Amino acid sequence: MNSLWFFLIIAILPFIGGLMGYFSSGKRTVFAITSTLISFLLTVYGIASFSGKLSFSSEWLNDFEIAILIDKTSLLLIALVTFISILVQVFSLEYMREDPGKDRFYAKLGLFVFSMIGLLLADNLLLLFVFWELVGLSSYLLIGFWYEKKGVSQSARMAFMVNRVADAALLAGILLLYAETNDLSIASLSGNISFLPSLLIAIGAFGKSAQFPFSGWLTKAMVGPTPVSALIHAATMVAAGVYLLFRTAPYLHPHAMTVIAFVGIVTAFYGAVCAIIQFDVKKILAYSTISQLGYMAMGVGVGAMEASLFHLFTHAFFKAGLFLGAASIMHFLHKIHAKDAQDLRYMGGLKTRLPWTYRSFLICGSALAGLPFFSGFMSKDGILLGSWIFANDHGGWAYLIPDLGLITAMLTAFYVGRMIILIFWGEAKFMNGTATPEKNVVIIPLALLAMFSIWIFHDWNPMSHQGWMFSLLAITKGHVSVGSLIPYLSILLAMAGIILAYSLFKPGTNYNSRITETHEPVSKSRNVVFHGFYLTYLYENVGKFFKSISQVFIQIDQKGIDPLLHFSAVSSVVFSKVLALIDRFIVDGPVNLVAYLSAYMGRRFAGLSSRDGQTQLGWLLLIVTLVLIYIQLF
Amino acid sequence: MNEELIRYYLYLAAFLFSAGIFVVLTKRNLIFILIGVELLLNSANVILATFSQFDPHLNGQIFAIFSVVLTVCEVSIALAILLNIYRNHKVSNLDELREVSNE
Repeated sequence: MNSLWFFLIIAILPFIGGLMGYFSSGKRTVFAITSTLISFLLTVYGIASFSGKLSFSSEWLNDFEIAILIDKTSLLLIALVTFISILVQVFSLEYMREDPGKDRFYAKLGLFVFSMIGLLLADNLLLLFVFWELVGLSSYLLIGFWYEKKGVSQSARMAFMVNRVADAALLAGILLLYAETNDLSIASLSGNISFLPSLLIAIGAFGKSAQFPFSGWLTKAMVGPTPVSALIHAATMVAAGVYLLFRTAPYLHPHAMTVIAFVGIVTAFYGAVCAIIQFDVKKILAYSTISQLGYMAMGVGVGAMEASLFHLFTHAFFKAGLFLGAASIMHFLHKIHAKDAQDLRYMGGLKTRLPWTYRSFLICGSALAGLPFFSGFMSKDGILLGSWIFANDHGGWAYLIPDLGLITAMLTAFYVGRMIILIFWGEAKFMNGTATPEKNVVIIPLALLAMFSIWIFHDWNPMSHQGWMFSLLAITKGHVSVGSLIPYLSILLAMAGIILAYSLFKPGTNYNSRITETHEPVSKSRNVVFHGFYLTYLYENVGKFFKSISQVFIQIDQKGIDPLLHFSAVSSVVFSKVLALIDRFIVDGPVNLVAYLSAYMGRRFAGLSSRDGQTQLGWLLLIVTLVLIYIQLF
Repeated sequence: MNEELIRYYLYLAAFLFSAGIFVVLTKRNLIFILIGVELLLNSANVILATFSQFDPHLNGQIFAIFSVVLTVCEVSIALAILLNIYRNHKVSNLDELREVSNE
């Protein structure tokens, strides 16, 4: 058990299972589910018989080691990932039953689970980055699963590219950290990282965890199959950012932590506001996920790391439950009517048609809304308490964080109430098909996830802020609980939100009967919120902005710099021509003249001593004659 | 013999000499040059014979006969050499011969 192979098998098994299912002749999905189950059981065995920390390292390059580190936190999260993965895979047996690409679906899920476990095991930041990218890749593959559908591949690409931007920041942060400490192992971090790498690492985490302003990709990611949304875009992958923050938070620069806290609370508030007026049930859940992830990031930022991790844990169950519930509803409605199966306005009265979905939705929704006796209340209150302590320590502006957190809690209760009332209550609309009852493969995952959203599975005390798993494994450092009004305040606000939702949307109010054919709300300010403050348009416009900047530079280049270059080239050619002329006639001229003259003289005198014997004889005769004439005359 | 007539003998000698110089200086062929040299020699012989009239012992004329004999010998040897050169090197040109002889 204390061997590297044990953990490598845990990590690689789901992927092997998925591949076996993909390549086996019968396209059997049983391989994937069984291997994930084995992986889960091995992890549980590991948790039960394990204490302390284990780390394995091997030299990758000279003087550069990659290491994996196993402690209780990572094992617990691996158990969470594999557990929810099993439930999602079982659920998909029914949901994807008639899909021709079912084996592909399970293979991709296997890849995702493998990379997620790898991410949780990695100790070295560079190794973590590798798995970080792998989960991004598998998320991209699964978002684009129905790639034939219009717009799906564009959405997948946008989700992928927005993540890349943040990942570039993460990589830069990791490299800066390496330049600073010459070591990338999380376990051997110590002291404070300076501000810039801290901020860059935090930005990487923001991207993966869909924090503001990167949150736009998560709503785009909802075009994937809904069970995938449950597993990846609610429970596990988006929590990877929070996990990274949790691991590195003790060493991050204090100012970066403040940035994280503020970004977190802004995201939480933003998600809750946007979730209120959505009609698409998956969009509501996506914005709610953004909001809850904002809570977690805020929790890390204010120093309530354990509460954040606890919230990650509880949120994984109830949000996966909600997504699977939504998947069950959509699956049902697809058979009943031809209208948009995700639109709240075409739902209603499903309480009797889908009783198990209703029950699990109610429980998970209560957990999300933060009602007492449900898991979400415990963890969310832990975070709110942490932010309250943080605000007490810092004073002034820092009170913004718990205040906004409480308002967000109320908004959360409000949109959960609205969603449940509009889906399940009231009278059924457009129901002309025959109702098919839920199957066992749907009921069991829903029931299990709902069960784990009840307080008793985390702690016997519904007001506690630490799950039993955490205190049992002694992860927490004993959070000091302060006598404060926060828990009561949040209960009151949650109740108020639900009552408000009930009074606005209860059956018989005119809202329920008002169905517009347009998908967008009429008023302008609502429209802004409906589109999530146009974050995705922002991304497009940032892209267009850079494109137009490059166009401008091209224009400047062509109109301004090119003629200048051309002119200077031409003028230098002309100048050199002139120089060449001067050179040829004024400098070379005298030299050539001297050379020509001496050559001429040389040629003339060379005639005297010619090689030609007869010429020599002629000269000889001439000279003798001249001598004779001289003698004759003088 | 009239002294007036000597002039014409000297004109002949001068003509022969000039013709010999002309041939030696202008012709490229070895045979022609040899002929030119003969002309020069003969002009000298003519002058010897001419001026020996004023000598009672006629030494000049005897010398001229010797000179003719010697010239015959010399020309025969020179022609033999030239023919041999031509046979061996296939040249009859004075300038080319310079280059050939270096080999």
